[in-house]
Amino acid sequence: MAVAVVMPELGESIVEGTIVRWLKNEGERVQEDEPIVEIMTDKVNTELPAPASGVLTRVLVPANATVRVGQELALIEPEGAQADRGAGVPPAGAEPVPVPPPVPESAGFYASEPAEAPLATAPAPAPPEGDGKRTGRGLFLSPVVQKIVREQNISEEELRAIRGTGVGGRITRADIERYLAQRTAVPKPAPAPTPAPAPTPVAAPSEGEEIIPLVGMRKAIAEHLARSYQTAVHVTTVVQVDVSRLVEFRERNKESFQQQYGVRLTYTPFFIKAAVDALREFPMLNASLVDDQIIVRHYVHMGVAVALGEKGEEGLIVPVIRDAHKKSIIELSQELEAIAQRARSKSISLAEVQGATFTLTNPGSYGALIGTPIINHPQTAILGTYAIVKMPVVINDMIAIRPMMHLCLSYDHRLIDGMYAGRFLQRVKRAIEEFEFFR
Amino acid sequence: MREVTLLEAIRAALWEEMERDPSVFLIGEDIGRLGGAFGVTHGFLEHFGPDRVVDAPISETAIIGVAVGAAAMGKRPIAEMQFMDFISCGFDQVVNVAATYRYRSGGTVSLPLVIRGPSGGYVGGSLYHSQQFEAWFFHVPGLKVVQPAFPDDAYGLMKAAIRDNNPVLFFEHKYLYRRIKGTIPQASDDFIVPLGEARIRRTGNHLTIVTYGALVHFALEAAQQLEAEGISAEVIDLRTIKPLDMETIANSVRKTSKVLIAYEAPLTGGVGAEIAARIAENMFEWLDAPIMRVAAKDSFVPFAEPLEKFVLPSVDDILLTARQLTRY
Repeated sequence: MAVAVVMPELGESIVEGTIVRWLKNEGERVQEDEPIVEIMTDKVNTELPAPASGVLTRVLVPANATVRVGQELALIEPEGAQADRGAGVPPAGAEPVPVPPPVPESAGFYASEPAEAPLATAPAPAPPEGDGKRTGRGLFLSPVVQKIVREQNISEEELRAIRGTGVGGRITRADIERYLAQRTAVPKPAPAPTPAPAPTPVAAPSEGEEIIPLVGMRKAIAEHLARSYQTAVHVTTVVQVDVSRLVEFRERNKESFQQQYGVRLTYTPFFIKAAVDALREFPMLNASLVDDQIIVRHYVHMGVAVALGEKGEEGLIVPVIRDAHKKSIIELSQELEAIAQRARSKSISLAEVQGATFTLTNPGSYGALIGTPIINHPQTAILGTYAIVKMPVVINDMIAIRPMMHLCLSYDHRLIDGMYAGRFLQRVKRAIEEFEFFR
Repeated sequence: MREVTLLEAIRAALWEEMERDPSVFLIGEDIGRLGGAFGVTHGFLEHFGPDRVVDAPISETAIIGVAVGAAAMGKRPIAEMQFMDFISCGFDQVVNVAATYRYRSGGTVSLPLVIRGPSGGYVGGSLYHSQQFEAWFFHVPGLKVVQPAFPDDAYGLMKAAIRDNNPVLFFEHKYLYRRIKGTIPQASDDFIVPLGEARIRRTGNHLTIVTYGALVHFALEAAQQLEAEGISAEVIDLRTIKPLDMETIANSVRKTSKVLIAYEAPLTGGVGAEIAARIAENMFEWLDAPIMRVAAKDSFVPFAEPLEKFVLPSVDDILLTARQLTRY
């Protein structure tokens, strides 16, 4: 019996995820616990292990599709069942061999209804791609090609190297026979090859170098940022903010605040508050562009970037303050400290890093003066708060010394025009400069 | 050897079998004094006499009914349908009486009966003189169905059909009657083409075209053009549609892994569907592409020539699909 690969519960309140990519293709052998599919939830990318050893016979959900918890993603058939089939292939004219037919990608080849598009005159399928490379949709092998692959023990690597001349780069029987004719020099793998170990870096380290595989959080961050950078049209707009009042307030109240509320008084909750209030007036910056639909939120879940490790060497995580628009400076301060603490101690739950509608990052904490943050996909904007530095500024045609700070807003230009972003920044700037403390 | 048309080959087979076996006789409309609408039995009445060349009233039920009764009593009747389209009028006699006879009699009664006549289109015959009804009878147990494409096959298959102890429906393609010439052996050679054996009319490696009737010639023409394009097509002439020679088809599919089935009748529910199903069931692991069919549109055959050409399958249709298959 086939074993189903099921979308697991990855954490409380998580009801769905997205298939990032299949690490195994249909027809490939898999070992129990071997990663077979990469799934993305809002923040965390997870690799699902195979629930059983066998052959991945059917992929039920393609890459980029959204899946719900409990949904079947693929089927794995025990190795034995496959081997029996292979051995049972009869010679000419014998009884039928029951093999579940794979679904050909080119369903259109079959699909035409004669009344509308007679087969005989149906348009020919798309010509093979010039370079014969396959698209990322996986490898379709016709029944006869599968049979040859099995009988000749052709490995996945070998298959990938064969240039397909059929429709969409499909490997035809002629292609694989041509390959076999010139394959003689290659020693045949053992009849039942064990699955190849996880791909290791090909390059050997040169002297003075070391090679670290890209795994785990680093890999998730890498892919997430790359996706964001490739998707959103990034523009960064900068304003300078005079934070005199804020600095003064903090200096005056930080000790009493700590005593009264049990948490340190930092600048960040004020910036969150200012941003949240401004977002209520500029909701498009709190929206997401998903599949030609703009999802506008009338609530703000504020993501706050938290660097991990003494020097930030352990990566970065973005805990979420839910319903930030309903919270006071005090509540924001308390929640921020608690959530950042859990992030640093790695005891944060997946739910606490999901669902942000806007992100605040504070490179000022390590002295950065100005920068261009990358949007936390699929959000629309990210606000960076930079170092507070005393600077000479012109006020009423006089030069004064003021603590100044850059606010850098990166936004998705597909959705947000420059003036809208500029007005938003001005609104944040004013909120900080003219700030009044309300609990 | 004799150079004859397909029609003359059939005439020769009928004549020689009537000479050989006195139990063989003909019955049909206008087959005696007129010599048949297409002249297949021209001169038979004068030679064999009215007891063996029976001009029947215009009633297919009566013609087939008489033939069934005579066959049950030990004669070897050959019933002519002036056009195979009109076999529908005698449908009950064919499927409920003739086909079931051996079964109903517990195997004690043989029914050596041939029902023959012109069928098929491409001659401007319009809807009642152009149809290919083989699929109806293909569906019925107890019947054999034949359609030759060459004179030698027509000659040898007709002799086999007459000598067979079961009802055989013999579809003679009227488009091929006088168009296709070939040589047939002398009567003294006693040449027979056994029922149920297909014939490879052209060998090839890239795809298999399974067909019968007029489309054999279309397929051969297409194969010749394909050769110029570097595509090597194997053409199988089924000759006998039922029983199907799956062995010949299977051998070819194992070689080419790509199959095109061409038939003249409307696409839906045609003989090609059964062939495709059997290949899919038994030879799935030999396929390198979907099994494709070329057939008539699901329509009647129109009278207007351009419309007839549009509805019926053509050499171009075969070419297009063959190229598509090759590219797949």
